[in-house]
Amino acid sequence: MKEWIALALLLLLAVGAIVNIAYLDRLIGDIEAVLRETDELARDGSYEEALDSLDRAIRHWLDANAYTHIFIRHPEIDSTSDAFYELHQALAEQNAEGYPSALEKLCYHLHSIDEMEHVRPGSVL
Amino acid sequence: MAIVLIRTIIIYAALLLTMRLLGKRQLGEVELSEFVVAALIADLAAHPLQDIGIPLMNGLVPILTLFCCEVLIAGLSLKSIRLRGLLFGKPSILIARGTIDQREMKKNRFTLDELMQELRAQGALDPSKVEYAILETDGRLNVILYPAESPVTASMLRLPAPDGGYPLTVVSDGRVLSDNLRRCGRDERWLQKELDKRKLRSPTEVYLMTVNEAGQVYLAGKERT
Repeated sequence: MKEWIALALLLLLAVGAIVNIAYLDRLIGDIEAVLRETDELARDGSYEEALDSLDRAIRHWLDANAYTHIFIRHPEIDSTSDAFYELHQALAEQNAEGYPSALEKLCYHLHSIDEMEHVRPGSVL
Repeated sequence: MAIVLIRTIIIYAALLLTMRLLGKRQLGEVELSEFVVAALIADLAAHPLQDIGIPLMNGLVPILTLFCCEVLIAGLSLKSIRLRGLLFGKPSILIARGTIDQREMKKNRFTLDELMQELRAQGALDPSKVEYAILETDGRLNVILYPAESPVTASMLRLPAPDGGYPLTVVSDGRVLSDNLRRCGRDERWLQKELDKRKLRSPTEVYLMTVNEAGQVYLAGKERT
């Protein structure tokens, strides 16, 4: 009986891990979609709208605060949050040369968080 | 989470394999998988406690995973003798009929000094008087002397040996263990009578009191400091 409970618990953990990957994929995917929109608006010179779009992405990131703090290493969360605010600043300053690198940095952090949870030889070993 | 889960299983398997290859001598009274789990859990639990930047989940998932692995391995090894032999090894006979098996000694990396030390610890000074010395899977060495060298028992001398049965503790450091008192068919009134006989007022003055199945009482009073 105990062995069956242990097996069930192990399977439950495996299912939980898969659900976690799917949830993180969706969260990061949604944020990246909004960031693509932000990029397009900024390229067109619509910085006000780009900022609104970025605010939506930030809200989306902050809404997932409980989840991220339970499952993601806190230094990763802090560097991603910093990258969000760096991009915000670049857009607020209408810095056409500075914002692409800030956006790239943010996308890199988001991608890295997502990658970390994916089961690949590189992340397991 | 998946990474933590897979990593834990990999580390568990690697540690189990390493400890298995290291052999019985490294264990010392715990089974292999228990040792691996104990070594891992202590470290895993400490990390999220020391570094608050690590989510608690990163400590809990591996601990739960290890618990599941341990229960599964223990359960499977109960059912399969082959798996049990594979995971925990088999007892090694280091001395058979008074002769030291040098191949087994080498295989288990057991030095002569260690063997002699173990034999002395178990009251055997001369290996030729040892019929068998068995290195168990938990790392202990069990020594069986030749019958002629074994201590004389009452049955050998055909002497009657009164069996008092298992002694139950009824008072421990001043506290009455009511369950044990009932289990040996006694009650608080009987306890008080026994205390009165020994000029003690209450169980708080008793350090240890046991009663065996034959009704024999052992009582040690508390020292007055």
